[in-house]
Amino acid sequence: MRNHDTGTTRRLLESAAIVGVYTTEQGDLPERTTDDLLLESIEGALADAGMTLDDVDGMVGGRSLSDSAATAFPSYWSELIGHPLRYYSTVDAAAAAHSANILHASLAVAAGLAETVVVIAGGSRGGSRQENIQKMAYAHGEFDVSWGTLVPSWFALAARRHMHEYGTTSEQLAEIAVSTRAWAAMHPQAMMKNPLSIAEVTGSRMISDPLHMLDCCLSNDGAGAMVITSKARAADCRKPPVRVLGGAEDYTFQGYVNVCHDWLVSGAIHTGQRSLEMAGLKHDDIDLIEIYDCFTITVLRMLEDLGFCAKGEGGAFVSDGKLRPGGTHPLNTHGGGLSWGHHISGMAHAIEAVRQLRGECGERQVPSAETALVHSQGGPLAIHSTVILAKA
Amino acid sequence: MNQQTAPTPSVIPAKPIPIPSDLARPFWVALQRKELHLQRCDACGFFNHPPRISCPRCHGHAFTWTQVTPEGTVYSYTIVHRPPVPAFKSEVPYAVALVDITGTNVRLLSNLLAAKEELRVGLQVEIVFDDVNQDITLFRFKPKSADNTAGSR
Repeated sequence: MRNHDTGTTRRLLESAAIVGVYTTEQGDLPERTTDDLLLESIEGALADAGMTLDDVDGMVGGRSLSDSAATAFPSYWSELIGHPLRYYSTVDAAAAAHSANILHASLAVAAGLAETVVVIAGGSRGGSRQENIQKMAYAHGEFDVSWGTLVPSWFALAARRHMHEYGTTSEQLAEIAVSTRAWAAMHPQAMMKNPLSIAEVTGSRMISDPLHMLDCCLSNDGAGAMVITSKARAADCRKPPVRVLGGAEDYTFQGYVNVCHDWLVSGAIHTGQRSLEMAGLKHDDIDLIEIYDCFTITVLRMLEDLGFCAKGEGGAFVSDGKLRPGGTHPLNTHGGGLSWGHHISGMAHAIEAVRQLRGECGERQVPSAETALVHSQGGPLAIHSTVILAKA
Repeated sequence: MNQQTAPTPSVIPAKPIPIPSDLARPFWVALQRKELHLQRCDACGFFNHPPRISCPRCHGHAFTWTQVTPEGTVYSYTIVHRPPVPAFKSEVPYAVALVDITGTNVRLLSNLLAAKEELRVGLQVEIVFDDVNQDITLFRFKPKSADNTAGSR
């Protein structure tokens, strides 16, 4: 029998804490490189924690997709910061990596493999945006490469089936873009701040029917970082620590969309259930929901699979405005990939959760937020990771 | 930011063409003969697409490439208005569908050659073979003839 006990992981997690976060500016930043955006993030997150580069002995995360293959390699960073790292890992799971990276960093600290780990994400898209898309489109593999489809079409297929099965509407999907924009308007770094109406979303250019342009996330440059250290060291840090109460991963299938046979359920069902169980919390105990939002349908599907509403009821669930500022279910309060910026994907959501739990979010602060669920998703709903964060 | 330095391509790159993997070569070879063949597990009968080195259902390692009926039922579809690469620009809008292949557990993705009014989940389709060059034949879907003539929904 597989061991489903979550207590061991939970107890380990108690000896680590998140103590620093940082996000760079987000946007078209052709003058910035991946390395310099990441270095700014690392130094910024350490300063936020009241630490310096001298404190770092581990790193987690990073991808080598853009202009610097070196960023994926631990020794690039140890060489740069001038002393050896004793721990490095990264989850190679596209946008599903971020909650998993936070979980792995926390467990590495708990296990004593490192004392202070910086988790990194993002950088520069490098070259031109179209070039990157071309590269991806031509490299996608023998069974998906010829049909003139890429990521938006995968999620459009998911949206169409959800509409067919449950009567979900474009207006219900649009509500997610609208509520997210309302939060973005209150974040100083958000790329898109103009108020948005449902009609503007459904009236925006069609990308891959039924997904409109404003159902899709932004494309930009930018980076972010998070510092995780031991509970003992956290006591000396500049700001109150944030705890990781639980976390889980689920890797179901690879990127060919035809492989997914049940387009109505995903691995988020498992990561949501398991991470909440580990945290000893129920859905009603969660004050803040942060779900990686590559598309509006992604959020709707994840709200169902994570268990915030019943399967098929996502459309009705979001349409009463409960995700908006002042609503009962504040979601993506930084403005998400849809309006804040997309390049650090789910790491932005985790960083926002930390800022909210510390109570430093100004006008967009969710009153007395003590717990947050942060979900990362990658591939066409194929790979998932979730963490539950809480005020210490 | 203004991408003034980006050169305007004088020639639009060709559409991406599949590069058959060794494992999937029988699939592509069969398409050239205007047949649909899928990798089937000898032990449990499960069809694998993409083909695999081990059956995820029973963990068997022996497979036989098996001819199946080149038709199926639309599970979901989308209409692409903004193509991922310029090579498809002249064709927008075009439909792409996930189709459950009749008599198998396999779902395939390809273009659905049908008018917008015809598109629906549950549409019965058949495969048409398209020799895009000497080495590669692609499969696409079109509404089944019978479905067309019965067609008043």
